[in-house]
Amino acid sequence: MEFEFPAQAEEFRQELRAFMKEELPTWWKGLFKDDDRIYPFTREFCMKLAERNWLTMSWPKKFGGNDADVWLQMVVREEMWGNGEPRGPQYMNLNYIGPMIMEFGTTEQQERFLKPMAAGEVIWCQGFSEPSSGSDLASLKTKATDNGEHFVVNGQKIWTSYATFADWCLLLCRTDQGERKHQGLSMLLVDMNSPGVTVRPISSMGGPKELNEVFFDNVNVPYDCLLGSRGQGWRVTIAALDYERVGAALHAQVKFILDRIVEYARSKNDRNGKALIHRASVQSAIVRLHARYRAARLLCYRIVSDMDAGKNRAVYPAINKIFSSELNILIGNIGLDILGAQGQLSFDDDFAPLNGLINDHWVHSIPQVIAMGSNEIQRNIISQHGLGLPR
Amino acid sequence: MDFNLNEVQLMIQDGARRFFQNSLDSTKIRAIEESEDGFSIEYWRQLTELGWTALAIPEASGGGGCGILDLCFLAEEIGRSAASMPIAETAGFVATFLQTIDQSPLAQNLLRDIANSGTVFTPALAEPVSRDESSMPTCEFEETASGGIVSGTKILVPFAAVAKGFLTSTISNDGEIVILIIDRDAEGIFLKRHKVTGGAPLYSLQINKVEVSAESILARGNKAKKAISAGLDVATMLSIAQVIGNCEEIIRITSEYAAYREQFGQKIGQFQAVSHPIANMRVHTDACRLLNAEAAWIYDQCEDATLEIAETKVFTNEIVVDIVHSAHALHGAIGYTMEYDLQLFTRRARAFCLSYGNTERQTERAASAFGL
Repeated sequence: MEFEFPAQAEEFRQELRAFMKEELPTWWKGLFKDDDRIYPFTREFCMKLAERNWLTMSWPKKFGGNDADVWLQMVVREEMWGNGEPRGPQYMNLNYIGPMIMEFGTTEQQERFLKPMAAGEVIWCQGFSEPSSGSDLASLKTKATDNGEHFVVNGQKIWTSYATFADWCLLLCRTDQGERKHQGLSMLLVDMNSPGVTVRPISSMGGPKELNEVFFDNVNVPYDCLLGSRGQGWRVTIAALDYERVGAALHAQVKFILDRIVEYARSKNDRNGKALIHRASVQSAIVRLHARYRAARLLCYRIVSDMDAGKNRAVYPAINKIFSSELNILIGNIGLDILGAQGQLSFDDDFAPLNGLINDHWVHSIPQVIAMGSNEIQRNIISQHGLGLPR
Repeated sequence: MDFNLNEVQLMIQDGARRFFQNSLDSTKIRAIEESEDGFSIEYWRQLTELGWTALAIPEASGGGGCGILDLCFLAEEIGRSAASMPIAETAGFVATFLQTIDQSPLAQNLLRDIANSGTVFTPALAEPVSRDESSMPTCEFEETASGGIVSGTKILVPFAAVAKGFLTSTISNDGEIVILIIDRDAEGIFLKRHKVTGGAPLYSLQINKVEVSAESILARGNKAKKAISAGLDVATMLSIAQVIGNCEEIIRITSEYAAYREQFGQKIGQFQAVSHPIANMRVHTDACRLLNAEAAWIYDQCEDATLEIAETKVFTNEIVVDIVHSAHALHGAIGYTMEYDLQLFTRRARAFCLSYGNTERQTERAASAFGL
């Protein structure tokens, strides 16, 4: 075992930080804000990353990447998540939609879809969940019928992030009625500008447009937009979820919040006129969070190290996801408690401590235990694949 | 950054696991715990002959020249077996202490004894008035022309009945800390085994005007403090590795039980109210192992690992209690019986949290290392 980041990766981190300092506008407070400037900015930002060959650096050269070391990729991931993810939705292209097309796509599909991703020009969204299919994803009902000329899609997706801006949708739907619900599913690549696609934002605790419903009403999808073979959709999905789980550096978010909490506790006095940081309870909270931050970081690195060694153990991403999502909730709640009564002030309130950062983090931590496969599903994975427990 | 075990680590893990599986089942573990000394030096000597207990001792002193991280893999297997072995105490604390001080001929000899013969030397640090191993001693050292006279009481001294000598912390007339070796058979030493949760052989040690020679003084003042601190750091990491082994065994026992036991017409492991808490044990045990491995790796690079060690202990103390109680809740009454193996690990794991710095103490250390 060895716990040192490659020197090259650390050098790159400094270079990337300097770039971010230059490129992030003062109004930038993170991806999940209700601000119309955000999505155009993320597109521009991604194109600039792409110009430097940093956007898809770990992809193979033939797909527009740079064959970069996985630890360089980790640096990108950490620096982005630690700064509110200025790549916007495009982290999904890089982390799993692209790799899926590499694994299952035809040469034409690879040519057509990967190039714009590598150039930072295209936003994708994920059409998986449906109103009555959440954790039981394979029970989904959205249907693609083959009319002899192309597929015709009818149905509804929900909780679709970024759908209002997305150019393309990775759509899991039913093409055939199989004996079991996992059979007969297919993955389609759907142009969001196709006639019959309607996006309706759902107002959530995270803001008015963070989540959406997407309706498909007789949407024509050409045969060449089928990813993998017909009926293979479940296999493609499992691969997607595996790729996806490495993708989010949730620990980098924790570190960013923890650093702000420590700054705050140093600068703010308690009722006796002494900085909060001197209080034993505050110190204890910080130590507890910092230990867990370091554990989350290591659990995330373990997945990368495992993949790097050519293994791919299913329980590692599951463990990481549970631990880091719950840590994000924990740090949100402890952070709010340290802020005290002012903690409830929203980010657009003049008196909000740390510009409402902690409150905002707390709100967005709520769905972390749900997104990317709920933590209950992750525990099922650990139970069945790691502990040998019966289904 | 590479989380895969290297060849040495795999060899230790694999070899030690087979050693314990083949030679120390839980019936033997129980018998040893209930025996007078609470320890079987035979198995410790066998481990020494294999070269494992001295892995982290320099080659020049007869050891393996490996790191603490490597030794952690042995400690974890000891933890899996629930054996009481002085891995943290002798191979950890004493060996590190002896390497940190200026090497007198005596210190060199002690180190060689540990490496070659499996001799047990044990720390005598805690006292009735102290909170833990790191507190200032009150045991008196009165300097004389030929050496000195030691008087006082030590408690929670591990493996005292089988130890050849005690690495004892004392305080001189002018308030200086003095660490010396006291022979177990010296006149004026009285031992009494404690009754403790974990079942480890811990003793109270009455030191009644024991005469020691000048050569038996190992270190004093700041050098002594520094060596104690290094020794405790290493002992902490090795004891964490042991409790990780305890937790691994708790996970195995509980999973097996859940996969076998039926209620309401199905295996209880099919209930998520049962399987999910076991999954949580896996999450936290893995997190703990990575934290401890990183701390040991940093220590092995000769860098300051105080923050990492203290934080790991704080984290471990918290999760171990959850794991233990969760395992009992899932087992029902059978897990509470002495006949069932779970109690062996429960008792050891619970005792662990109180040794080498409780949560309060380690939080203080971590906060200070963090710069708070």
